[in-house]
Amino acid sequence: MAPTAPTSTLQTPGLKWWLTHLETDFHHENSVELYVGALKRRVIRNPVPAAVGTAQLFLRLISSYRFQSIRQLVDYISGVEERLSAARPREMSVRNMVRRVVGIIREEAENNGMGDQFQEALRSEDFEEALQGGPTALKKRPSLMTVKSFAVAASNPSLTNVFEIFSHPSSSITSSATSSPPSTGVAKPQSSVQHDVRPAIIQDIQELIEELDSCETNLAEYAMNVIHRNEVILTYGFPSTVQRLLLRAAQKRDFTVVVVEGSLNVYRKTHNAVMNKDTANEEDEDAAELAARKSLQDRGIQVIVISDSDVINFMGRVNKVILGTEYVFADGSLLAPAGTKNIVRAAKARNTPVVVLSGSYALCPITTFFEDQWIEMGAPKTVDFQEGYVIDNVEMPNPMVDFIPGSYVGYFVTNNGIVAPNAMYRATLDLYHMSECDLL
Amino acid sequence: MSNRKEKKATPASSGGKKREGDAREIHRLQAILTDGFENRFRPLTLETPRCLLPLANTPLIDYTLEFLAFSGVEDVFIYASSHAEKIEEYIRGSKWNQPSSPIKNCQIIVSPTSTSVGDAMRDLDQKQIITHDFLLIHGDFIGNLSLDSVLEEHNKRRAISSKAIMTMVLREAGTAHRSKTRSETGIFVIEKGTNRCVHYEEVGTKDGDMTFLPASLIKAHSELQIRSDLLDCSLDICAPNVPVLYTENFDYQHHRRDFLNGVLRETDLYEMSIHAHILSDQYGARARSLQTYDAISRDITSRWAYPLCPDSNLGIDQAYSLKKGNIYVEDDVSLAKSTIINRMTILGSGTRIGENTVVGQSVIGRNCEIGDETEIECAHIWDGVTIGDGCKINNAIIANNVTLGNRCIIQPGSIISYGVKIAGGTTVRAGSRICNSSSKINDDDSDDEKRTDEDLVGIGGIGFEYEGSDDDDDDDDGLEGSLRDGLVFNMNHSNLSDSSISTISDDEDDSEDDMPGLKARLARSDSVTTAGSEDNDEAESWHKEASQSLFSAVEGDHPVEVASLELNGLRMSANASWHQVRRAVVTALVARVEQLVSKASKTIAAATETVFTRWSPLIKRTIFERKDQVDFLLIVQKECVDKKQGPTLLFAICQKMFEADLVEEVSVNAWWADERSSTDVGGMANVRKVTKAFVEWLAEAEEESSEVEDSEEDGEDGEEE
Amino acid sequence: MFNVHPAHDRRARNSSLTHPSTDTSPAPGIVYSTAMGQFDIRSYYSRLLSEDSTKSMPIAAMESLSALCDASKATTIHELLSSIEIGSKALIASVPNSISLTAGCAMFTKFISAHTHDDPRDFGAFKKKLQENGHLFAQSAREARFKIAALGVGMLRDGEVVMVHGYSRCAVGILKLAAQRNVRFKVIVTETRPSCQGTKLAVELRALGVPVAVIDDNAVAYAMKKCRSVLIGAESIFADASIINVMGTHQIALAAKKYHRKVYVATETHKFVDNFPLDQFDIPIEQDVINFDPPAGFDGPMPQTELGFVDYTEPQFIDAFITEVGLLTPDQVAERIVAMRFQ
Repeated sequence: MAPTAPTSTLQTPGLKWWLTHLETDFHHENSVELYVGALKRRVIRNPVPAAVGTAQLFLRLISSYRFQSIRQLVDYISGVEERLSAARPREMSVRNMVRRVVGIIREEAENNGMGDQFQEALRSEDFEEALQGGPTALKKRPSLMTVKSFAVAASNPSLTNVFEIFSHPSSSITSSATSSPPSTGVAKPQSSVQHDVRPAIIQDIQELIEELDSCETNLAEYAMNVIHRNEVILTYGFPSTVQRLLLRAAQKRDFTVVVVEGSLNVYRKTHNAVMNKDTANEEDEDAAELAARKSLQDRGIQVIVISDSDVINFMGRVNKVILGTEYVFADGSLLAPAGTKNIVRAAKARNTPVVVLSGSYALCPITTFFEDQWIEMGAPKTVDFQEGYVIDNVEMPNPMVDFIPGSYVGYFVTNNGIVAPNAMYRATLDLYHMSECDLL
Repeated sequence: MSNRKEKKATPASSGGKKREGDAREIHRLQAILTDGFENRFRPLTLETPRCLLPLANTPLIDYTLEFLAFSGVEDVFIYASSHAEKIEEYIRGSKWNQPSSPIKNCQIIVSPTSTSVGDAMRDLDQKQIITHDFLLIHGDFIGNLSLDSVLEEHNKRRAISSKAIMTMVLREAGTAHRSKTRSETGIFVIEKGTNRCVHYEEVGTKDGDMTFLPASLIKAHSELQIRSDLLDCSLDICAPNVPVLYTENFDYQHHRRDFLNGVLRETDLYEMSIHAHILSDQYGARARSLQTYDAISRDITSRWAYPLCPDSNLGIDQAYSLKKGNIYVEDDVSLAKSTIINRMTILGSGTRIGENTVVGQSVIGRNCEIGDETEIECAHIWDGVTIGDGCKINNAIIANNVTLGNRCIIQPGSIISYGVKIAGGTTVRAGSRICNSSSKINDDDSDDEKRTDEDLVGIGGIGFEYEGSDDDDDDDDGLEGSLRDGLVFNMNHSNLSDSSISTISDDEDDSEDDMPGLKARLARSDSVTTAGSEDNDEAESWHKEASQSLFSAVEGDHPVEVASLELNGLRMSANASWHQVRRAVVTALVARVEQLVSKASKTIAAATETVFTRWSPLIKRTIFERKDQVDFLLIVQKECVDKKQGPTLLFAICQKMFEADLVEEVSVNAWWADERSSTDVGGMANVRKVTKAFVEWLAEAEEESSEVEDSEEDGEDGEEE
Repeated sequence: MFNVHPAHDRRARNSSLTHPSTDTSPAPGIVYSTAMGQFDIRSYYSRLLSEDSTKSMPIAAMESLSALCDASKATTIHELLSSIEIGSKALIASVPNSISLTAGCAMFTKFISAHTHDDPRDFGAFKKKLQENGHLFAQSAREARFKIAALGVGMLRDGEVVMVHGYSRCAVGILKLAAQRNVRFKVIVTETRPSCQGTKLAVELRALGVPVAVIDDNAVAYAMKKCRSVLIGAESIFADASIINVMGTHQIALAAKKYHRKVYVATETHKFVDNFPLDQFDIPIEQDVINFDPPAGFDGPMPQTELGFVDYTEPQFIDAFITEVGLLTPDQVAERIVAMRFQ
């Protein structure tokens, strides 16, 4: 035996683990499987880590995948996306990132005069086929690639489906809506397709990753627009996006912050955040960065923590509610940590404006019939497991997010500016270069 | 993560990376995954290893491996003993064997001779696989707890003293919790502050609600917590000393009962300390018996083990979605318009359910066909099962490919194993265990002949009753233990479960027994472990006292219950074993018979008849299993050795006991064959010469008891041709 | 606003019987003629409708106009375009008070003339292009209904109860498709007197095994709590996303709003119209609903026109539109309609 006690260590998988794996052990098939497993197991679990993990994965996939045509690349990406989304259908940032990547591919394809090829890759499924399919056909999520979504080039998006038939490949007489030079895709030697396009795509994806990393900082730029002097700001939990924004505003303005402690899922994190402590779960935060960050209190801002039940009392004295969110749908409705609904309803009752901070990874080009399919149910927390008799006879659902209709929100702060809820649709579609949202 | 001392730059392709020249070694935690080595899931485990049984439609071992995966363990050694080839096959074909598996190194160690955790540990030590701290886990563990904090604490302790050899992970669970094993409640005595475990008792080994703790504990420690509310996850972080200790003490079999107890008791000798890590949030439990299996299934359906839930679809081709009320439905489930699915139900793909059928709180596997007008409640139905119309299934486990005809009623606690066919209109009585395979069930000839018991499965059915074998090593694997751990033992729902248990103990008079736990709890026979105490002086004096008091009761013709009460009181006060009780009973009764013969001039036969018939209830209360019966006969034999007319006495008693159903033919044969009975030492062989005839007769005779009466009158000398 | 003719010649729109339009107007028959040929667009149109009762009027109109394109023997662009215009006007005149028909024709005309100015000298190519476009448009309009059904089945899941008013082919398409797929849902149908379209729907759905409850139109508010959502069609969708639909829709929408039930409108995009009325009585349809001086012999409510009475519902009562381009909120619909102007 060794002189010192031979101890062992563990590295709990998380985003860092995943990124390390990508750097050292990447294999185009195995890594995808591993990622699927990681998503299912919830080792990568919040929107931002999922977005970063996905973007990095695709960066490497595209770097290593050999494709002869744009169509092949797009098909491949689409296939991978299906698997990832099936693993965690509710973690929409995975899908969002893939959409961004496809948008990048399209842009680069067009820049290289291969716009047609891209169009060709987008044949939508025959609807007859979909109609005749059995119940399982229903379950298939709409393929990323449908004529509706991507058919129209950026230059002159027509907004009614009727007119989009022009982009149908069969109408070859009409030139495609792009004003780019005539396509020479066919004439080009096949092997050089990937050489032309790949470096540009990779660069764009790297920019995308940078954008993700700097999301919070970008949002914080709007601090001065959002927060005015001597305001009382209410926030739920204390997510880092809101924290950054407030810190930025604190540089120049004086205000008060009321932090609502949050539900059982959230309150511990809130307490830690208010005290500027390292939270063990925030693996995506660099410990050093966190330590360097000063707290609001250091900047002289008063921070008050209240419990959920007190909100309606405080709301009368609050000027503004600033919230973080997990996801925002195209119609302006959002998925926010459980307990937020309480806040916004109180705000509405008092006519207090609600501001929502949403990074670009959070915008989902999705419309939906049923909001409850997006609500992830966690482990029951209301009653302890120890209460054996109670848990035998009582059901304790624990939704981890709330669905909040867009009508409760005053405006959104996004990377690309301040947006009203009913214009969210437009902002989202522009971000993804799509013309319609997917219906899920 | 907080434990990582340096940034890891090398790929982890195999476990045990040591960096040369580092002062501190960095070693990934390895896991040893063992079987529970218990037989509580028979007859389901006759063909399949326990860790491959499905719980909520996923094999148990998958849960364990998922847990290890999200804890970051990359090396797993699986110890397989029973049905090892099946485990191997499964792992080989599963996602854990793919290059994309998060567990980089999953090795199966086949060890067919291991029958306990102890054996596995010794084997481990021999093979020298482990050089660092490792995680000892069982293949039926399900949990979502985070090992980080546990490991951190453990390493802190190790850094201070290398004698802190083990950290047990325990979860708070209150006293009466569904996920705790009922048959063995572990009492942990823990020193507050250091969380060091200083004593361990398993209630259930001894009788009654009480247990005794050595007073020395209180003297040695200032503040102790005595916890009976802990759910033992059987998850330990062990130092490499642990397998070594097992090798040194080769009688250590059970990890807690033997090893833990042993180390704690010999603290002076070893100076090792064992610590407990008590969790009050997060989930961890072991499916070690049918009762816990059912409870954990319910826990999983209620999402306590999130993210280990059916709708996480951790299995490769699973596609569950969650609906309101904790209902999980996979793709391609076809429900009729009037089907009602109640809360906490899981439906696997390909299943079809008919009209007006109500399914609630159950797990239904894949490709099942369930007919119309059926009610299924709290059941576990695995894959490929066909259930007819109008059936009622309650609290049962129905394994793969079983067919149930129309209008079958499956009563609570039943277990129907693979491939059984139950004909229409049959009622499967509560607590039945029906199986269809002939592999390794019993050594008894009589059972081998039974292929199908039509009483049990109906005409046209296929299947027969599984009876627990006597050869199980572990004491609590007897039928009673498993019944207590069976599906329906629940203090709150008294009716059926009690009756299913009391048939074994055969005790109608127990209601008057004022020992509260006795009716609901069955004592384990420990005739094996207390053999030593026979020679004890204390035991002898107790024996005298007990037999005398009983004798006076018998003589004075006291009511049976009163005598029984007295006897019990005596037993509990001295903590006597059942063997001793039997001895006392035998002494008293035989003395009484003699008395009758000499004083009241009755024939031996008549006297025996009077005494043994009258007091048979009392005798029954001391006998629980076949080996107890054998034990009893041995005791009688021994007793008769010194008596005048001993042989005859023995013969008569044997006959009477057989008649009164106190012993079975099987036991008689076992007794006869037993060495201790046939040995020449102590006159044993002699005294049984006469009884030989009886035994031979038994072997030839049919089972009708009327014949026995004839033979009895044939002669007190018992010589028969 | 559109021209409105007195309510003389009508045709029953939603019943399975179609009456050929009897043209008694003094205009010289709705016949397209040039020196080169004649094409009776009206009879073509009526024939289309009588052949296929599931076809809606706008679609029949588009197909007729497309056929007109094909049959045209015009030699100049101007001639061609103006003949289409005449044909379109003729159709509209034949069925007055039909906003959807009018809108369909207008959209068709707009569509086919878009992007046709690339090379005005090549008439052959131009005409060919026009015809192609015409077919495409008619085709996509036909297919729209199926796409809507495929999208709309998502709103019906196990255990859902939906309330339906009127008989809209798009809405019914959704229900029928879901029934085929064995989704276990239930429907509450309003009778929709006096045309009793609701009863007709109930019969059809029951034949497919769907449990249907038919309620009196008066019981809508009463029954509203028993359903989760309301599914209706629309005749036209205006630029602010308000709709015109069979009489009673507004009532249902009001009740749904009060009980926070979702109102979904299933409709094709070719029913979009680029203007909007201000209230119930500003809609471009003349109907004699409220009459204090009924003609002799009429004691009860005014008899309905053959097209049926319609009412107008404001956008704030509508939660979403199920269209072939996806699930759109009223804002999104309004945006699209305005953008149509710039095509």
